[in-house]
Amino acid sequence: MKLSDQLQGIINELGAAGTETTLMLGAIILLVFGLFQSKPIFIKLLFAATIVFGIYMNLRPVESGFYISTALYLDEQLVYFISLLLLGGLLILLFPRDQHSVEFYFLVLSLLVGCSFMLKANSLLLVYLSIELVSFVSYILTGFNFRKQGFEAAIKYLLFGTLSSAVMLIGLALIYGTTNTFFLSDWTFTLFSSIGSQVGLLFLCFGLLFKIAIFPFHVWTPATYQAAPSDAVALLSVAPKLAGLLLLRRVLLACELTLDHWVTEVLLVLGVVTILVGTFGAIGQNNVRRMISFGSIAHSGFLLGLILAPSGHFDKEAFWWYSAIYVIMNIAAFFIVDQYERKGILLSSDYFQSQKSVWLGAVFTLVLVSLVGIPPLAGFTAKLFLFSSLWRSYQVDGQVLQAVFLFSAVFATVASLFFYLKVPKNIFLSPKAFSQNGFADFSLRSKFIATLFAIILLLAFFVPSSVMNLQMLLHNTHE
Amino acid sequence: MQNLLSWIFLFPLAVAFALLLIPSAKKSLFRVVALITLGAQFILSIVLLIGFDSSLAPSSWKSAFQYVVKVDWINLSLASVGNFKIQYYIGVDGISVLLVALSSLVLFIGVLSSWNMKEKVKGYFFLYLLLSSSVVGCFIALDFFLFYLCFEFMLLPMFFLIGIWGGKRRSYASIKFFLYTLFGSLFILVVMIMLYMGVQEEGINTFSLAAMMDGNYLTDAVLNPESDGYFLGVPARSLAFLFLLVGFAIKLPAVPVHTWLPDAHVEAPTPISVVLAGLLLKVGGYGLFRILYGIFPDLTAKYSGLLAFFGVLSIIYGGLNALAQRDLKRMVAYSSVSHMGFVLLGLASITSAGIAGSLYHMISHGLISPALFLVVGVIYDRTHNRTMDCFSGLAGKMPVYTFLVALFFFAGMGLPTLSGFIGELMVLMGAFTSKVLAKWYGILAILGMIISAAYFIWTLQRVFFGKYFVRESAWEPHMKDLSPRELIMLIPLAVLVVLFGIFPTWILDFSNETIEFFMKHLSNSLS
Repeated sequence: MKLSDQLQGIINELGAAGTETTLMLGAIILLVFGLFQSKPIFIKLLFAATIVFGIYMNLRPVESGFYISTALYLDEQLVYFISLLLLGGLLILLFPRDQHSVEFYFLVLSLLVGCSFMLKANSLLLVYLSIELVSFVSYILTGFNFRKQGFEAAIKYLLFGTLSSAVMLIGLALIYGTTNTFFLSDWTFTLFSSIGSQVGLLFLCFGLLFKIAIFPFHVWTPATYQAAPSDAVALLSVAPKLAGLLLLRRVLLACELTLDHWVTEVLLVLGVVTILVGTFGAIGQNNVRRMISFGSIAHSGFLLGLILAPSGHFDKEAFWWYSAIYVIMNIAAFFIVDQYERKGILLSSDYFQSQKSVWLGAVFTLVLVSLVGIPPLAGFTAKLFLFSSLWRSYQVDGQVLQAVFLFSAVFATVASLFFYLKVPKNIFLSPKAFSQNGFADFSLRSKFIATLFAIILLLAFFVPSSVMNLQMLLHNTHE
Repeated sequence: MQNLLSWIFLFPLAVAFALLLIPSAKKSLFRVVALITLGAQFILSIVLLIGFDSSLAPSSWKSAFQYVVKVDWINLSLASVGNFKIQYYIGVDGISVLLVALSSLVLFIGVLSSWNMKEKVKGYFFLYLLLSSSVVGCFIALDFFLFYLCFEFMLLPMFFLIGIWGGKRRSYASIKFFLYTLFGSLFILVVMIMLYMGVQEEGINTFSLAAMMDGNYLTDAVLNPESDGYFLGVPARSLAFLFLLVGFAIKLPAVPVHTWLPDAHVEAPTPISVVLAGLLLKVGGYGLFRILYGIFPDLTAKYSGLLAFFGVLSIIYGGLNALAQRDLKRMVAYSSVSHMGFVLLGLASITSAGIAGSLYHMISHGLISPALFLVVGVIYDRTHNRTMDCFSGLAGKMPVYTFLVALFFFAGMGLPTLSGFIGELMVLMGAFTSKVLAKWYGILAILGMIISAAYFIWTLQRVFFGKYFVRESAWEPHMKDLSPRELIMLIPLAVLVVLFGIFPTWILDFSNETIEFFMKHLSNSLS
């Protein structure tokens, strides 16, 4: 084979990592240019261009299969999810950011690179590296408002993160020791017959559960959500979580675990406990960020349920729907929280009633109600798909844990209404009149963006094919 | 004509969004627009009644409905569920057509009653119109998903209507209302998913209520009556039946899940109480008819004792509670609990008299309870107080008012020649002739009627007769007889209550064929 052909081959193979290369290049350019020109608008434009170009690279037609010495795996489904995460990253631009924007957007791009690699990883080494990349960026972003509280949360996050990554490393070592392979694609069910490899698998899952925020690896979540800057939280609550879930899905698929395997059962039980812990933890919270953080822990549990449906019935569409809507709901919620905080209104136990914020309050209510899952909002359709999926897999497999999962999810939905309702209660129903002097109304821009989010949620309910067609749209653009 | 139902359903919704475009400053415009909208809805529903062919004898549920509109709405393909198909499928039969007419009347009167609303008028009428649409939607939906959508969509407007415009403990009451109802409706959601997975129409899984009632189950469906499916060791059909029962019993409400109702009523402003008692409770009753009995006819006999027990419990416990109240509105609220017990008892009897009586009682209570809340509102508007002890001998000062109050109280306790009597009589006839119920259910229900007579007459005697007295002299100048607006609200209700008490066939004729088919439907699956 001629050298040029070989080079061509490598370049072709590198195309499979085109998205990540683009994002990294963009990040470096951003950092370098940021030294000379740090006007926010310029930085934001550069960031947006990088992501848009990244999405473009991502959507280029690539055959599904293994690339770069089988270090990467790629298929159509993953491409959609990577695009979704990148779109989520793009939405972060809607948040006003007035300081350290160069470093911030650099970190966001690095985070997205890590997430993207997590989705594609086929080699255990890459699994570990990408998770660590995401983790380290997350630690820094947590403390990125340079306040004491933020540092505390970041250190807490770091400590838990180090511990879980050590556990995961042991898991990887155990798996490698017993299976003698680094690649997910080489795994088979028989390779995992020894208890050592199964324990290794469980430990590997623990590392992922930490990213997803599943009980008992969720403890970092409330502090992080409370202390980190809003735009960082909006992304952190979405991207690492979905990336972790999809990687977990691939790991479980690769070792061909059946639903009644003890590792899956442990995961299912953890899912149920997560839903309950998230929901009942949120009830006691007064701070709105902590409340949403516990709510998002519960959502992790729901999403885990979708992931664990047996391989034959894994509901790609349902999972796609839930994740797409979850991205929008969470970013919208933190966007609105950010607007309130910028007015000096900390949505903690002491809320304000304000005639002037009726509009934003109403939109916030819609977003939160969508997080509960009540029609006519897209969150309901997500819950409906989740319940249907669980019921279906119970019907097929007859496993009691699935039914328990279904009922915990239903009860958690009711209970979650109770805490999400605290917000409209305090904005609209509290007898305390708004008394802060000099309160200016929210800017038209913020109202407009928030309303747009709410309209998307409504529209997605009434025309659910729009969300599904987003896949088709992405599909068609690269043809 | 074909789209008449869609107009009745969607017109208020469209106007609600149009209201948002009117600047908030034009306060008096909102009520006029709302009045015209719901007036138009009322006229359309009269047209609906006139055009309704009550002689149509259906052979299957699919053919039982009139004014049917069936359009595909959502069509998705999902890996696990197959095709996810939701239709905009609406229509009315002899049961729902009456409830649609009742809704538009009560909603119209509700607007009249909110005429003096002063605060945040725009938001109020916006939410009120949303509520109007979803109430009607519940009665006409023939697609379970559409029904569930409307059923849930009532909650959010109601939450705000009670929570923002309510009394002192409004936030407690509105959150309690929301939580209770959502708790119940999630049970309904689970059953909806179970049914959807098991019922097909033309080879595709469907949410169609008609197909579910006709029993087009897949052979291996868990809910197929012939397949004896189990869920966690419990027969799946029984479990689904009980889930639905809990869901609708909370909405109805039946003792012991009624506790949200007195709180919600006491805190809600008068017009919202009117809609809540007149219509929202009927949605629960309608759900029992259409969904619980319609889809699970084979289990009705098995669980009729349970239904009757909770029915009678509601009648007696609600009545005793009403007897103990000092707040007029709370008394009326508990009387509603007591009356809805009759709906349960009538259904439980599984006789045509009982079931027709149950429906009749819903319609009649849909007229009486709004009237009762309106008359309580009359006192409250004048004095901002509704404690019974604060008033006495109002008859001398407000004779017309007292006459109407007495009329509605008598209707409430079921005095002959008034509509309340017919419903209760038929339910009791059903209960006594029932093959599945023990006689003591009927006997206890009669005891409940005596209790209701006691609290109504006692209240009448304490508040309206005797020596004239009001607690605060400041109220004195306000104690005037009914204003023309109040008369416009109350007179039509009074006339209808009397007319339906004398000519029950005016209502029964509409539903005869449907009830007959309903009975056939129940007895087919019983044998």
